[in-house]
Amino acid sequence: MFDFIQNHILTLIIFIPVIGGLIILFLPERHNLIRWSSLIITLIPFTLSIMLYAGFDRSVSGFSYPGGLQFVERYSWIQAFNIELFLGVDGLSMPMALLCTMLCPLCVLASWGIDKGIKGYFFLFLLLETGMIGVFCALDFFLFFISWEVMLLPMYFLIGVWGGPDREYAAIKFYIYTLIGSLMMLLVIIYMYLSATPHTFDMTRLAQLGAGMEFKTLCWIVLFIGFAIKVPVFPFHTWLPDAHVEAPTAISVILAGVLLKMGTYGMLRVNYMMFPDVTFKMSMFIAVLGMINIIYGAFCAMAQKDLKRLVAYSSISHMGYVLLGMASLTEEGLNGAVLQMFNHGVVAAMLFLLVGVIYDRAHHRRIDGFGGIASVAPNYAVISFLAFFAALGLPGLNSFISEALVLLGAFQKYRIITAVSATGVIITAAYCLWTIQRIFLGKLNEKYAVFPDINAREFISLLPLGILVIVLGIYPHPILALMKPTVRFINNLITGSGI
Amino acid sequence: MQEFVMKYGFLLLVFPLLGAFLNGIFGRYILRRYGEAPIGLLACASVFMSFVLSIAVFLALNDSENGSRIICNAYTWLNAGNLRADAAFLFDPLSSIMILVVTGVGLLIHIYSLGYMKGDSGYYRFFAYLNLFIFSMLLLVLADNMFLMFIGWEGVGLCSYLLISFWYTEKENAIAGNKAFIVNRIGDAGFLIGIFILFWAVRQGLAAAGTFDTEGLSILSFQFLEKNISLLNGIELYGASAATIICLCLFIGATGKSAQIPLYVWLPDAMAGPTPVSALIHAATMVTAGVYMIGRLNFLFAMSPLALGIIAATGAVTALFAATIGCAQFDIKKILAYSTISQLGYMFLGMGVSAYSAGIFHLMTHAFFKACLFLGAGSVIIGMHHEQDIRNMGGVRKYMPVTFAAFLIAMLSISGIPPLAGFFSKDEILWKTWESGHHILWLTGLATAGLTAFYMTRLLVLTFFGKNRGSKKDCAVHKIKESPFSMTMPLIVLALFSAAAGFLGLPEALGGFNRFEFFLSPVFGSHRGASHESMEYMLTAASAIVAVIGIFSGVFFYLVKPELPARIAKKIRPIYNLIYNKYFIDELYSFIFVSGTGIITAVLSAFDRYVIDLTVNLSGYILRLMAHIIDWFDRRAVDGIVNSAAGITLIAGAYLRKAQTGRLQAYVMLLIIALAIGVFYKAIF
Repeated sequence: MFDFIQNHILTLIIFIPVIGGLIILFLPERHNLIRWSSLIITLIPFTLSIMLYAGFDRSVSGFSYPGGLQFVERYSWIQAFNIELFLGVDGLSMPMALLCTMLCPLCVLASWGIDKGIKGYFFLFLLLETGMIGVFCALDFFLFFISWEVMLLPMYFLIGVWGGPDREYAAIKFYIYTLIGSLMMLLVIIYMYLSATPHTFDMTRLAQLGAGMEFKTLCWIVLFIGFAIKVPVFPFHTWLPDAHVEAPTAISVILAGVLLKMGTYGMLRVNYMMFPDVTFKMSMFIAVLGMINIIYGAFCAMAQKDLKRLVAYSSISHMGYVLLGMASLTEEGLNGAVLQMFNHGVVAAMLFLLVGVIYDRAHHRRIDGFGGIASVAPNYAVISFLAFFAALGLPGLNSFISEALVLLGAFQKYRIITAVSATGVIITAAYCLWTIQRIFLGKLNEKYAVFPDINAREFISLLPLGILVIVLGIYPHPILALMKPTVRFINNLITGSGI
Repeated sequence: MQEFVMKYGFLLLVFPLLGAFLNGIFGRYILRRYGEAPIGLLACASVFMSFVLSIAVFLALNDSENGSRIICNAYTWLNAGNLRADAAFLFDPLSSIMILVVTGVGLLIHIYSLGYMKGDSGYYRFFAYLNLFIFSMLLLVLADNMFLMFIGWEGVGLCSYLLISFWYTEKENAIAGNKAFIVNRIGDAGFLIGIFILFWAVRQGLAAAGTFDTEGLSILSFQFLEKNISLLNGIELYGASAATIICLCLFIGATGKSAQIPLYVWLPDAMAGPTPVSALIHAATMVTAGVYMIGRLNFLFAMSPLALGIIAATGAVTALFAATIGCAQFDIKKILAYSTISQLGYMFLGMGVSAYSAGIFHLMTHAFFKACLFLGAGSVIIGMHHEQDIRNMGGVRKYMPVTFAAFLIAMLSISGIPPLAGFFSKDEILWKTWESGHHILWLTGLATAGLTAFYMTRLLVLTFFGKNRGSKKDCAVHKIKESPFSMTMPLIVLALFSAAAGFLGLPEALGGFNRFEFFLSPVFGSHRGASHESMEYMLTAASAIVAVIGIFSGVFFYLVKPELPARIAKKIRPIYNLIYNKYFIDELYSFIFVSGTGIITAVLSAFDRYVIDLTVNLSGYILRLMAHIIDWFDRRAVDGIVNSAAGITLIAGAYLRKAQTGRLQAYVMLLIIALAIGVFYKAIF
């Protein structure tokens, strides 16, 4: 039994959610039963990914099998096209898989209040989880693409059916944007498949593919745009605030916590690992985009009147750090970028959960419509302070480390760009504090004289994230150690190709 | 002893952190269940433990024979690529003096707060924040590398924010807290960029020296920097020496934290916090962080005379500038705040002329007398039932004798009356300034000394002398009474230190030995200039005389002829208004930065909504339009063909139906013909 789990751990992590989802479809329509079973189903992959974390070898690196890839499983799937079920993790995907499986149970807790079409909701949610983990673990390009699409569909329905008043517009916008992105990806995938001999979708082999520089550059750009839509990179970002505002809380958490990271994950996995030489030439361009995201996102966040929109724009700003770190092509910066992907996943999840809490009580999210909430809901206020201070990069909390590493790394290469980006910390502090002040401080808004403090379920969904925010700020080693060899490998690959 | 510090030195930080944690998490419960006593006790005990350990560190350093530097390495905090930062703590003479001041003054202020905060519903919160502050400050002081120092650096900023907006139900307090944090952030961004440049420059230097593999090297640790600072020689950035740019960036951070021009504006507003906070954070400890940082990195700043010059000039100008504003304020705490800015200016002047030990000496004496002044002010404010305007005070001397005595001593000390502590430390800075050849800066400092004596006397006289001018009913004179012992005790202790601490640094010219400078010499080196005893005597006399003149004019204007200041103010109305309104700097900043940010924000978000999103929606609209056109084409043209195809099928069906006759012979006939055609076909092809 144990051996079986050990040998098929990735398959189990990926497919248990969807199988569980199918089972849920056949359960009797009793709300609590469905909620609890979904919670238990999502806890299984989480437990397994803890095992994955424990068994992960922190010393090997490389993008090959046998080699740096671990927990590899390889089965033939569609033989006619040489498509495989090829799974494995390295230092890049391991933190992401961990983040994803960790957020899902918390999201189930945050979805406790869903009562419209509850079966469908949780089925789609679990299907979404399968898709997400699939993207991070797939080593077959076709499987990667399929997982990408699998994740898209439930997302569309989850926003479009369970969303807010303007949900259809948001869902379509999200869908079309992402679809354009995946179409671009598909074009390149098919081209790469055809130009390999023998034809293959094996990413590790496609990485060795030789091709003319011009054509590679074209592929790189098409792929980059495809992923950039997901991050989202300016100017492809306007789907994000709309999607966030309309999506139910748990879906916002997934969106900000995991989906955005797929964009940067895709860039690192595909653009960086498969086209290192092009990446080397394009790094300056990525850095500029990162800077724009940081500054532009922060300024836009400051202008928002809706709390959820504000957090959405802050996500855009924080993802800019990932881009900047990636562009630095230094180990510090790349470590910072991958760490920032994890840290932002934690912090953004926390922020969206907190927005959900306040929305459940007040039924609106206008920042100016509150005031003095700290005096009626002190526990809620404390956790919100923690989350907002993590978002503004307070030293001692997790985001600071990743942002500082990013800036430190980027500064070695781009002085002006980094210096401009560093002023982002001022704007971020300004909008975070201003938000805190308008919602929590000042005279109590009489409308909310009776404002129930955070309840046990909400508290439990926030507690693990709050602990991570503090612990990873004081001791980032548990996550940094996972990624270090892989990051070094990527960095050497790219800087080596540029010489 | 040394081994103990090396192994367990980190405990110094653990106690206050533990106190903060316990009071922060369980405080509300404890307060409800057991009252205020356990909370206060826990908070004071944790700081007391740190204080005891600080003494232990001090003793350990004193009896160390070889090298006076002890490092306690707790764990590797950050290790990524070429960056390594340990959670390591550096104990040397400089940091040991700082931690003694922080925990010592901190302890007294904790005790004072027991009485001051009595009955406040946020009692536990207050002490949790205060303990957290002590932790952050100790982290700042003891950090062994720049990155760790930055945690403390922003950590104290966080505590300052939390404590300024402590009474958060008042919107003004919350806004003052925001202002403090954001202005500090501006400085911090500079500080951070300074760290990046430093990291880059040292690595450049290492590469130039042939070391490329810097992995696992704690490049940003002070020990490494001090040893390898010469690597920065010859490294340039945009045509300027890297050292200068680094120093200036770090100094921007210092102007934020230590409230110097141009980032001083947050400190007067920070007086919105409880008075013990103003004493501890905004006078004695946190605001001196910038001075300490320069002291800590003195070897780096020594490489850039240009940066030092800028620091000295900024310090001197700030000192004079803030002192003039202090002369025209009426809020007792605001006056003290401007005086703090002014005194910090002195410290930077000292650092800027490379008189590091003099700067640190003034830092220490200032911690004593300014904390004493603030606590005295707090005592008066409580006694006067939360009255802060000195125009409504007066005559308090009779009702609060202990507070008055302590305040008087501290006030004389800050005014620079010999032989109190402030005299020696200030004089030391002025003398070193003169000695280093900055005669104009010396004159600025001297003028500031006179002004300081003047406005402090004004404050003293208006508060404690004359008749009580309390207008409010509840301020009736008979209700003013002396504060409880828990508040007066710290006042007495601080007053004693404000009086006597100067003898630690008695200069040789006055027959002393300057133990202070000697103790710090392992950090700052001992550079004795040529002896100019006669000159030193003259300058010392000059500063004492200026102080006395300041005091006499204060007494003359406010006690002897109290109607005179108003008349003079009327005569020089424009100048008076300018000073009274703090040179309109706040308004200027608010106009430039707040509105500026507002404009950029509005423009960018409008761009986002009306340009980018409109483009997206427009292309969606165009797509839909195209879809409609195609749809029309589809229905009329394509579907027309399809529909006609359907028509043909229908007609064909109608005809073919006739073949379905129901006669068996006809079917068999058809079958045979079909078979024949099939066989024929097969045979041919």
